[in-house]
Amino acid sequence: MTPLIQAHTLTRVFDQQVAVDQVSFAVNPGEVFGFLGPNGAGKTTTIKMLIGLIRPTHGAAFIGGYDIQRDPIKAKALLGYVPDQPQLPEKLTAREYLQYIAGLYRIEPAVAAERGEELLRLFDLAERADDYIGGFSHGMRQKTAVSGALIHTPKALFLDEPTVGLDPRSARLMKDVLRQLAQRGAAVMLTTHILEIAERLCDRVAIINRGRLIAVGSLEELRHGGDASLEDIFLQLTGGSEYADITAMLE
Amino acid sequence: MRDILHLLRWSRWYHWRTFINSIRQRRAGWFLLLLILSGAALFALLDVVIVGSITAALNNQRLTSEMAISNPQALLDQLPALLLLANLLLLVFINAGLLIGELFFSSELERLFLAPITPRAVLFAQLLNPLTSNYTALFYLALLPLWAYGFVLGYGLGFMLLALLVVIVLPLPAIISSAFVLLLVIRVVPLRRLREAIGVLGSLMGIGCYVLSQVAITPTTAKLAQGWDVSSLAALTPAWLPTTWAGTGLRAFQQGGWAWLALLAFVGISLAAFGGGTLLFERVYFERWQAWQSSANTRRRKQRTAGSSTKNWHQWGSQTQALLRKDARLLRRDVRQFVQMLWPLAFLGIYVWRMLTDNDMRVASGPLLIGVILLVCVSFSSRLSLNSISREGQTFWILRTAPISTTRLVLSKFLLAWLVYPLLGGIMIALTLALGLSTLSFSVILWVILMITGAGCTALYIGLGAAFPVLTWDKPERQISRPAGCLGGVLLWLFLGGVVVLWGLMLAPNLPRLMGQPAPLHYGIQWQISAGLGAVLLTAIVSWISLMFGISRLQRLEDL
Repeated sequence: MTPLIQAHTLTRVFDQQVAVDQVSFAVNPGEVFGFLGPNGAGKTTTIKMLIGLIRPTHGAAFIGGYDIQRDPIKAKALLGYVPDQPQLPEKLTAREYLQYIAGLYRIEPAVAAERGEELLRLFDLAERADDYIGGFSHGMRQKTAVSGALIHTPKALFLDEPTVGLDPRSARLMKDVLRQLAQRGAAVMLTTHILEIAERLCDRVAIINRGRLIAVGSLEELRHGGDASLEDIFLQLTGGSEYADITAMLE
Repeated sequence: MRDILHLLRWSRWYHWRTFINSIRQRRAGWFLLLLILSGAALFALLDVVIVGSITAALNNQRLTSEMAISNPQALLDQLPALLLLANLLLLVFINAGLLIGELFFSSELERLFLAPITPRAVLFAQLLNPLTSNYTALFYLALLPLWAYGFVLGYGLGFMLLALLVVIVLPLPAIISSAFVLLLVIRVVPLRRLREAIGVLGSLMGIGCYVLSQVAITPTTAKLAQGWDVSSLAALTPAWLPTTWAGTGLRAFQQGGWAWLALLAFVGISLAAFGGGTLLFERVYFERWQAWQSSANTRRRKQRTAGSSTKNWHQWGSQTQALLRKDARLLRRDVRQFVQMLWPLAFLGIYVWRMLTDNDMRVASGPLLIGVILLVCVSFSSRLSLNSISREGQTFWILRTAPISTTRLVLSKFLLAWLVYPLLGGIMIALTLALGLSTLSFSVILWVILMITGAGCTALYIGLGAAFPVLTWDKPERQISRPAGCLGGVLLWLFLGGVVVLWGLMLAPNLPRLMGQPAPLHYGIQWQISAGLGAVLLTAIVSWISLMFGISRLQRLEDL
């Protein structure tokens, strides 16, 4: 099976500081892949290299088998991206934003119309679809951005902290949508700090720390037969368990 | 009070550190600082020289009689009062814009409300925040001119110190007046709209001055030729205005007597107005302001319904169309973006007005027509081209992750900016034809030249705009980066200079005939064809290099 997302020894150096170091992994169709790590570990830099927003100093990123640097148009046609703080055109309405994205992805107008309305209804945006995005709350912007990322039914979806700022209902909806998308054969890669979401939603997780990938696998594989929670594994691998000791001492 | 001072101190520190860090982080930061300081010093020098010269001229009887200026003494007496009144009005306007930001849209507010400081102190501190920019403006616009005035008239240290005192006090009534004006206006106008409106008004002021200067040239010249009674200007400072008390008090201090005490009355009334006004403002508005702040994050402002319907989807499909439609919508809806078009619109208005009324313009020959129409189109198109990529701002990630090539993106932007030439240029050429300023054959040639030259100008600006974009702007005025602005200015004129010479060589022998006049110049057709081809070739080379440069730089742009 050809992986839909593939990182091959991805490395990025900023001013002699290695932000991401030789990161390699693959996400297969139908998989939800969690990308975890402490703040500043290199999660966003890795995602940005995968989707072509920044160039790797070394290594390559592939989407659906296309090198994002050498064959960017074909690779980008397959991917969708939702940043953690989605900056959207303030003076477009949600419906117009989806039209705009549909135009950029060359979607047939009739298909785009149907899919756009479907997404607006799905994310509870239909009633305010003709309001400017500038008047939306963070959660509504997030849902608009996700709708934009889904309008061309991407094969590989990247989400940076997708549930931040969402109310519990919307967060649940988001998780259901991501799961459904994976069931239809897409590869979903998300970063999150909420380990419970990763534990429940992701088929496999990767943990990155100080730019290096320190663990990849399903939860069972990471547990090595034990019954530790993802939080325990995460803290143990990233050195966060020391903080637990300090907290215990303070108590 | 302690909280207010504490906040003001840390606010100043924060801005100072931000400034210093931004200098230190830049590769040429210290050079930039040196440039800023040199500019400030030069401006100060110019300021002193201009005001000093005007004062000296008004004080020189021989000169004023030669220039047919009558009653110069009346203006000289009222010059400080006039200066102070102009500054006060300017400050009231500027502070309205600053206060709307400080009181409602400052990113600092959330942090300040979380700090262990009383919300009242936050209100007062935000109210006083514009003082820094006020004093910076007053240093150049009031203090230096007053000192130059005093220096030329031989006034002593007392005058200089009193001028300093007046300048220190002047922003206080201005700030509180602005706050109350704001308080009244936001009862009827939504805040965001008001912020946009203030931006537009700022631009309109500049444009108004330009239009006025153009319209008033002829009557003013005629008036000056007949002699000018400048005491009419002094009449702008009625005795009941506190700024008049300050102005006349300053002058009276030097002349002796008790009239200078009027200056103290100005200081007193300003302090009282500020103290009383601030307390009143707090009483009237604090509760509502606090309520607004606490609900700001959850506010659901009903926006204007755009009226789009499902059938609009059918207009979509191609990437270029999507980009053009999006840009057109945003330009139309975002007042702050639209306001940038006002300068070219004013320019266009003046041109049409002159074409209709000015006899010199009516008899002007072809080259002038080409020049004027080209300039109008260039100034219009430049507002769409130099900032074409920057306009995307922080939403540029959408384009970077979409399957659209950088070449197509840049060419789409090029198309939007170039459309100005066939549309606006076409209308203007048709107008010249309709007014009988040009013949049909000349109009056709003019249109073709305009299309080709316009393509070169647009490509040059689009290329530079794509090569040096600013994606983190907070105000649309900051969308053009320094390299793009500086290089664009120089290269455009170099290109225009070259291409206009070549077009001129092509047209010169035929131009009078095309315009229905006898031809003074004769040279071979081969030279004309060569010149025309040269112009096309130059345009093609400049366009290709510019676009390729922009595309290659934009492709390398990363780390958003």
